[in-house]
Order: sequence, then C-alpha cells, then structure tokens
Amino acid sequence: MTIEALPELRATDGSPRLPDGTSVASLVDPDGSTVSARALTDPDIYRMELERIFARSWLALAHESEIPNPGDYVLRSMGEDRVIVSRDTDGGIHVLLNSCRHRGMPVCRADAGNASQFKCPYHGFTYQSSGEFVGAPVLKKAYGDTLDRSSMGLVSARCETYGGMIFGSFDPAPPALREHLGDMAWYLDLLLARTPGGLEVVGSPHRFRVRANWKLGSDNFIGDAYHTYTTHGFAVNTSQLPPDPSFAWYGVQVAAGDGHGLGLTGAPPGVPLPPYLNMPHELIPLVQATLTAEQDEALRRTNFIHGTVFPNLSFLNAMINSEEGQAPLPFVTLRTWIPRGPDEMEVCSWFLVDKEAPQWFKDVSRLSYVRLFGPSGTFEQDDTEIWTGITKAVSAQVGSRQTLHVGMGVDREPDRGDWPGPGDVHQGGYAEIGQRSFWRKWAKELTR
Amino acid sequence: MTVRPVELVAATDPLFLESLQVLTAEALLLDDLDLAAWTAMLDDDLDYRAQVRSTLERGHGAGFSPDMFHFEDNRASIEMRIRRLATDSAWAEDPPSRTRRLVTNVRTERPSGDEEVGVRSYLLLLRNRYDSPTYQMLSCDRHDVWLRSTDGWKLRRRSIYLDQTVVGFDNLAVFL
Repeated sequence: MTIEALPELRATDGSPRLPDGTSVASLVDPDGSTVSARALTDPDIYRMELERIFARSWLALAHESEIPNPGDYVLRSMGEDRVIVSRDTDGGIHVLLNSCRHRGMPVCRADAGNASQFKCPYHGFTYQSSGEFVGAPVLKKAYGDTLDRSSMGLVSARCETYGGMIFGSFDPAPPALREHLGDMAWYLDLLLARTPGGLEVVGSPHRFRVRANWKLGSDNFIGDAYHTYTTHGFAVNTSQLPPDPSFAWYGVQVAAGDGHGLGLTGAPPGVPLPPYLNMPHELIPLVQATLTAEQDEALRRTNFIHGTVFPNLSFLNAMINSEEGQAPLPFVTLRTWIPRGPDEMEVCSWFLVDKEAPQWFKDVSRLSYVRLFGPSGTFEQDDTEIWTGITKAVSAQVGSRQTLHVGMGVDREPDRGDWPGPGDVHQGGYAEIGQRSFWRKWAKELTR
Repeated sequence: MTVRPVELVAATDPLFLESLQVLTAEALLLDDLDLAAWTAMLDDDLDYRAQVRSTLERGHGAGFSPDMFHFEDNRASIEMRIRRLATDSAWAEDPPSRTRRLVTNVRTERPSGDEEVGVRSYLLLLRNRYDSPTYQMLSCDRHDVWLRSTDGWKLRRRSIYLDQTVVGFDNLAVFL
C-alpha cells in the first residue's frame, strides 16, 4: 500500500493549541533558550509528537550490516509503530509496517531472522520480503475478483541509507535523506564512512526501558558536554576522566543542520592525548585515504564525539578505559530513543566498529562499550538516573509549569576559529548550541 | 546457552548443600551492599557475562547473541565498577536500591576434578528505589563455575541468561 493512500494526518492549522488553550509554539522560546517543562511529558504533546514527528520524520532504524543477505530482516520501531526492515531477494532494503493489510495482525513476530515471505498467522495473508502481497488461502474461491491485489501490500515507509545506516519515513514525500541531514552528513562521515568498508554492527543491539521521556536522550547527546564532570563525576575518582572541570571545554559545539548537532572535544592544553581517538594505527592510513583533508583534520584533533540527528538518533565515539591502568580504548555507539509513552522510552543501542579493524581491537573496543555504555555501562547508568529523575519531577503539576533553561552560550557569537568543519560552530564545549537547535526544530515540526 | 545434559549430584550430597550455602551467602552480601566481602568471593580469573537476547522463532535457538553482552567483565573491571560505587557521585545507586535476590532451582554438577564445580541457579531479583511501592523485577538462569579453595569458594565464571529481550530495569547498576 502506498503511503499516499493512507488517510491524511491531522490537518495542520498553523498554530495548534493544547486543550487548555496553550499554544504549542509558546512552549519553546524563539531562540530555543527556554523550554517549558511541559514539553517533556505532557500526554497531549506526546500524541502530537507521534503524529507530527515520528509519523513523518526520517528515523534511523538499522545498519546494513545487520541484514547482509537476501531475506534477512530485523524488527524495529518508528515511534510506537513496529516495522520490518528487510532485504529482498534482489538486495533492496524495505521498511514495512508490521501489520497485515487484511485485519492488522503483525506478520513478523521475531526480532530478527531470514524469511522469503511473511505470513499472517490469522488468515494466512502472505507478503514478499519487499512487502508485496503474494496471496492468501483459496483466494479465488473466497474473494472472486473483489480483492484488489495491488492495494494489499504492506504499508511501506520511504527508505534511504546514509553511511550504512538505514532510515525510514512515513512522510509520503519526505526531503531526500541527504538533504535532511544537511551539514550533519559531513560529520557522520567521521564515524560511518571514515574507512573504505565503513562500520559494522557487532551482535544484537542493547535494548532497555528507561522511565524517562525520549527527548532527554536526544537533548543530552546533542550538546551536553557540560554534564560530564558532574553526572559522571565518579570517573574523575576512578581516573577514567581528568580531574579538570574544564576537560570537556576544549573543542567545538556545532549546530549541524535542521535540529541536528554535535560536539567534538580534543585534548586540554598540555595534556598529551592520542590523535584519532586512539584508533588502532592500522586504520589511520585508511582514514587518511578515505576522508577529505578537512574531515581528516577534524578527526585527528578529536578525542570525544557526541551528537544527535533529529529527532532521536544519537551517537558517541569516545575513548575511555574500563580497567585500572588500561589505555583509553575508543568505541562507537549509535542509539535511538524510542518513545514508549510520554514518560518512558526504549533505548536501542548499537555497538559498531570499523570493518577493517584488527580483531583484537574489535574485542577490546566492545569491552569498553559494554562496560561504559549500554544498560550496565557505568556512564550510561547515571544518565538514566538523571533522566528518570527529571521525568518524574516535571510530570507533576507545578514541576510541569517551570521553564527550563537552555541558554548556555547565548552571549557568545558563532566562532569557527580554525575548525575545518561546516555548520554553526562555537568554540568551547560548554554551550547549548545543539540543544537550542533541537528544540527549535521540535517546535517547528509540531506547529508546521 | 548450552542445552547439553549435565550430571547433577543428589540433593542429599554435601556438595549440593555447600553450593546452596555459597549462593545464599553471596546473595546476602550483595543485598547487604557488602561489596568488599563479595569481591573476596571472586576468583582472579573471573569471567562474568550476560549475553544480549532476542526473540526468535521456535527452532532458531534461545536468541542469545554470541558477541554482544549486557555484562562482559573480568575481575579488574568488576573492581572498577565497585570503586565507582564507593565514590560520592555514583548516582544510579546512591541512594542505593533495596534489592532482594531470591536464588532457587539450584543444580550442582558432578565435578570432574577436585577444583571446579559447576552450579546452576535461577535468580529472581526484586529492586525497589525511592518511594516506589512497586518493584522492578529481573529473572534469569545463571551457569556458574566455582573454584573450591582452602580460602572458600571463588566464583570463576558466571554466564547469566536473562528472560527479557528488553531489559526492564532503567539500568543494570546491580550485580546478578
């Protein structure tokens, strides 16, 4: 079924209002430097997000390395909708709503597998891995000529990939993915396309439920270098982070396109940190031959990259040790913050590593990721504690009426300095450039 | 997850009773937050892991990922986790959760030598935080290898098999 044939989403009226008359546009200051706490957990706003953001925006779903062979599939989420991300017999990738076109039953009930067809367990309606309707038992006898077979394919989302990441959109006419990513594409290359083979996902992604609003993940990863010293303060005591409260200052924060942003932190002055995030030396010539000179320069100078692609894909490339006396080992994680209600999210977190990396590095990089991020990760643990705490506090009556402050760095002009990358660049890691970009885009999507 | 049949000792075997006692004592130390004493029960060559799980169709296995883990720790990384908990900013467990580790269905394998003994057990972990009247719950099977030494039993290997594909805890800031 084509997306065009779906009933229209609720008509946009230019300035939607909440049931109590509050204009949605008023929740976020025009420059993004204040946000109503209500934006985090109000159930009416949540329903609008599902409709206007998650049923329209490009959403990251999977990495191509998760479905390498014809017939491979994984089950993922677009908002609260479950979708099958499948590779058809010709190698094409499809994003299919996991709901039979006959009576709505999910046609795929495993998280991953390989199947040439999906068969509904209710009446046997069967679909190709491309979503095309194949048939149903005694179709001719049961339906005669009354069933329009061409209209019976699974609802399929638009699907495009960037750097191996598979994105889907339920917008019938979304902008091209590359256009949606804007300046962020240049930065995503620093992770996803820095070597000829790119990255590969190792194992199944971590999935865990956090009793917190999904935007807290996006908002944190997009530009919050500032929280590191306090939220992850333990790491100073355990010598996993330096004792200088300014350690995450030495770099840039970038608003990179419409609602996207990231921070890239280098070594503090006088602190010798390994270039290229301490990647194994075998990879460095590959990186130099693959990236542009400017991208190579950016990666060489960086020891920590965090960012968010609007609305809910975040990424991190950091170098941290997980044992006493160990060298800081780099790892890459991508994750989506999947809405599961106004006050709950499912985190889907992938560990990725450069395909060309030596096996010893793949192993130790995974150890760093598992011990520091993911559900048992000592850094991620404290983030979830903060986000669940916020969600509870701002769900209450007076708590929800607060205005939250996102104004760090509004007094500083963009300053590219000698930074080689694109976007709205600010020197110094402690500036909520990315967060303001995120919240402005969020308000724009809800009110457009 | 291995499905090989293991030969178990009888419930009347002193080894069974001893393993029951070790697991009970271990659970108590963890519930009482006596992590120093718990660390003393860990072997230097500890291998502590929990594989990520997925829902698969019947006949395609139990869904444990061969190469991704919720825990993939050795003694040094466990000690790092414990040092973290002793700092004043390990927010996820400070104030600490109140936990109750209910260890049941203990199966003690007949040892092939003098040193190592395999012990399997179910764990139901109830976790309560702040003013919540309810619990976050986690159930799993654990396949251990314990080293019997003159200094008591030491945990050498623990493979944790979770029942959840999506971990229901906000975090795994507690040991299983």
